[in-house]
Amino acid sequence: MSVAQYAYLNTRVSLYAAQLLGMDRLDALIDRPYDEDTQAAAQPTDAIQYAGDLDQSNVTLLLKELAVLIRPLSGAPRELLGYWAHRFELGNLKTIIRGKMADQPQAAIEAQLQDMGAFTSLPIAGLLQSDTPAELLRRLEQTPYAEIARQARHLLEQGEALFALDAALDRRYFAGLARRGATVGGASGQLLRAIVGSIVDRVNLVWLLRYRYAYNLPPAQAYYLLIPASHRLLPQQLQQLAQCASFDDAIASLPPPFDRILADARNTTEVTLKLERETWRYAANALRHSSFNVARALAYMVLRERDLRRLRAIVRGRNMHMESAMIRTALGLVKNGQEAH
Amino acid sequence: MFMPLPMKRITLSLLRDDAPQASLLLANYGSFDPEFREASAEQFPDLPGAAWRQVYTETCAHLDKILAHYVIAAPEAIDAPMRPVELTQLAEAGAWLKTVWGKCSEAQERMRRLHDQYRRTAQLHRALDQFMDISIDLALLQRKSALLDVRVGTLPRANLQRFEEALGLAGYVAIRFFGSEEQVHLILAGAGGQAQQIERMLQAAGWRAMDIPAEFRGRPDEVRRELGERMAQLREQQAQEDTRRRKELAQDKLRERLLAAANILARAAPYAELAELMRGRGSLATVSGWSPEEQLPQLRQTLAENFGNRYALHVRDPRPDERVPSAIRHHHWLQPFARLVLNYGVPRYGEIDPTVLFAASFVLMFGMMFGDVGHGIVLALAGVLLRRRLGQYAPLVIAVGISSTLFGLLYGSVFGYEHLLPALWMSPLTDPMRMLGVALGWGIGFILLATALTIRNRIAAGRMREALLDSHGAAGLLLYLGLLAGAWRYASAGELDLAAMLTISVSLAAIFANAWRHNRGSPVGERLLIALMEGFETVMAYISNTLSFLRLAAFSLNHVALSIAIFTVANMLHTTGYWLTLVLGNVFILALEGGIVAIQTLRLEYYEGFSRFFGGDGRPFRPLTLGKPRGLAFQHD
Repeated sequence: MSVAQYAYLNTRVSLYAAQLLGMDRLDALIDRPYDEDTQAAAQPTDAIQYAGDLDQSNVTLLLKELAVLIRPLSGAPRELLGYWAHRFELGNLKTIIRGKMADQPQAAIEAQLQDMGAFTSLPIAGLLQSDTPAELLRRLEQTPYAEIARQARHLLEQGEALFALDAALDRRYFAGLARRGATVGGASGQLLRAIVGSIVDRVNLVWLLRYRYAYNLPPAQAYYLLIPASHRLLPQQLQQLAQCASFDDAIASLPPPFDRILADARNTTEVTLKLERETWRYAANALRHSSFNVARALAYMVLRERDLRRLRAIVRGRNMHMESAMIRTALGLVKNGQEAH
Repeated sequence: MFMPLPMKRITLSLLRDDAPQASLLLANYGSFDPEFREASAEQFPDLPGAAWRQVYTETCAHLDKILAHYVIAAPEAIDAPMRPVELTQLAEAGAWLKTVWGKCSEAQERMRRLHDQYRRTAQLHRALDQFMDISIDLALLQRKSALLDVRVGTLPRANLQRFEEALGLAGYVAIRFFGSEEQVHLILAGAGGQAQQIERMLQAAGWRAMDIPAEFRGRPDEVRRELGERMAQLREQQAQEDTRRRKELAQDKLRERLLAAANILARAAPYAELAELMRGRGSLATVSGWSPEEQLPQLRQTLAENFGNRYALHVRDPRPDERVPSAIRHHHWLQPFARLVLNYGVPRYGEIDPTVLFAASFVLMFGMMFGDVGHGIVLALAGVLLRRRLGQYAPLVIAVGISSTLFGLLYGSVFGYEHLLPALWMSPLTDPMRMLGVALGWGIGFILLATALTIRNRIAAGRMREALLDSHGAAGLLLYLGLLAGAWRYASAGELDLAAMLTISVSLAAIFANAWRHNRGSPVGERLLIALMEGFETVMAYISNTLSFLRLAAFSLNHVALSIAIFTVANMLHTTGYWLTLVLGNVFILALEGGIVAIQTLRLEYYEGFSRFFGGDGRPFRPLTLGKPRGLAFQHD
């Protein structure tokens, strides 16, 4: 059944997967002499098109490929993959809310928005035409984001910073992602839960460390702001970590396997990089060792996004005339002389 | 009638100050489809309408929001459509509308607050249900005291008995006040000093503490009354807000002023729309686009009347590399058919517009499959009586009704009765083979015509090789004719015809060679496979497409068979049942079979016809108009 059901998807993912960047190709891109890298070096992955507005072109490319992958799907798998694209729209929503709060001109806000193409669900034009934040929230209440609008109004009436609203939006998104991942059954569901779970664990741990030791929030508040979902990092473990006095204490108190993975992490950026690698490892595993399932599609999208972000960083690094070693370090590609994922 | 109207590319250059009026004039002209200017950005670096567009967009957004707030429809007709609008006038209207919208926005915020309060109060009203069995002041349950420990919460019913017993040991009492099959609501009360003792027990028993809303002050019946009064008060306030909104509309002639502003905006819209397409330099402005050739004299006259010699109109023929819009002109009666054609695609400029052929073949095929005088008359009458509801599709329903009636006369069928009228031709069931033969003949004619149109369209588009060698071109036509001749000869004389075999071989060789050349970038093996498959697929497609038309006969037979089935059931019943079955059966035939036949007809048109000769990827003609966004242009004869 799954072979017939996912034959098209499997073929598409396999075709797309061939364009994912291996370490050798990344190395070649980083090391290529400067005058060549915007042309020949970028050819294998059409990287030349990222030379302009990198963010928008990356999102457009990702959404274009996602639209192809989502086409043969229905039900929970379609819902999950569609929801994955949703976070770009959340970015738009944050931009609009921030812009309106700061009384920015409509054109200035519009220039910062990502074009979501067929994945657009927000009435962008209507929201942009709002004259006041109150009107914006009223309009937002007429959309699927009504709950967010009410929450935003409450937070703003309480005088909370926009950070709280951003956190609420992100929390809601990741909780929705975990919920949708859980609804897909079978072997595909297990692979999906591993990928989504590793994302949720990463976000929870990074947020916790940031809220506690960068923003100095009290344990209860820091814990409350986390995603109400977990995979390998259980709620009790997160509560214990929230009560640690310092970043180093928290790292030292991590349960397995996080204690091994993050043993020498010195800050939240390193924690993010190391845990991202874990997610990519799960994704690469699903892509390589499974077939005819929707998890491969999500795995591909996760890895494709990784590649686009790396390419973007390389192009930026090259434009800034950075040393190859520095670009590698920034990308987390070198660790004790070994190449990372 | 069979082709999009001949178009000309026009470029209008004029004084910058005249640009707003020229835009208005072009919108009133109604046959100008603007396109990117011919002049380069270096030659004409300015966008004269940019400021105009910005003011217009903001003003328009405010007006739309205000009209929605007061539930007013935008005016359909525009007063004095040629009266020009000044930028200052537009800005004044914008400033006024912004003020009005500020007040509307405040009103909407008040309504929103009232709505939120009402919703919150209604939630409290529902939550109060679970406390209605208690006859004490609910504020007492919320009060913290060092002497008395009071708790409210729920407990699984299964744990209740042991819980109450254990509670007695700690000196606490439990009062039940609400419950379901699984849970029971309890109030626990005991001495303040004993609180520590019961904590672990509560945890073990699955106790869940309940928060009592701060609004619950007083006895439950009093709280309920207060909440009810509050809800009524909020409803009253909402009604007052509604009344205030209606009164505002009547005050200071607000409605009239809003409609006047809408009029100004409708007349300002053309220049705003042209803002991104019109370029300028110094005191000059220029805009270009497309216009039907036959309407150019009218444009020249209007320009001369309004601008004297202060303009230059450059007109030229379309170039081969340009994507010219297709303006389609049809009689009012053909519009539903034209819409169905556009549903498939827009004819390319220079391509045959299939609307007339589509209309004729659609009506004929529907009638052939659904031939019945009674059903046809009902359909035609429905088209006439429901013409307002059916809108532009009324002519289609009337036409297929008349066609069904005429075919019903040929078949001699009235509501399934086969003997009320003598058949002018024959009843389909009397000679099914003949019906199949007619359907096959119709299909062959249809495919030949479609292929001939394909060849003509490709020649017109300059795609000669495809016109000659493609499977839908002359080679395909020859192949089809060869297949038909060969099949005919074999069926009638039982032998293969040499000329037909030769025609088939030559045309297949041409199709093969064309496919071989077309895939010259591929490896030889793959190329061979594609070319062979192309030839095989062409033969199979022509045969299956022809056989597909057998459904014309199949559905006409099906129509009679369904009627017979209904009569068989009806004859098994008494008078009332008989007539009831007949009526319901005919309604069933009309609704279900009628729908299926319409879909089948459309399928034959789209799949067997359009997919052959109709590219459908033309550019629609969207003329500049006043106010409303531009839609597809249908021109009436």
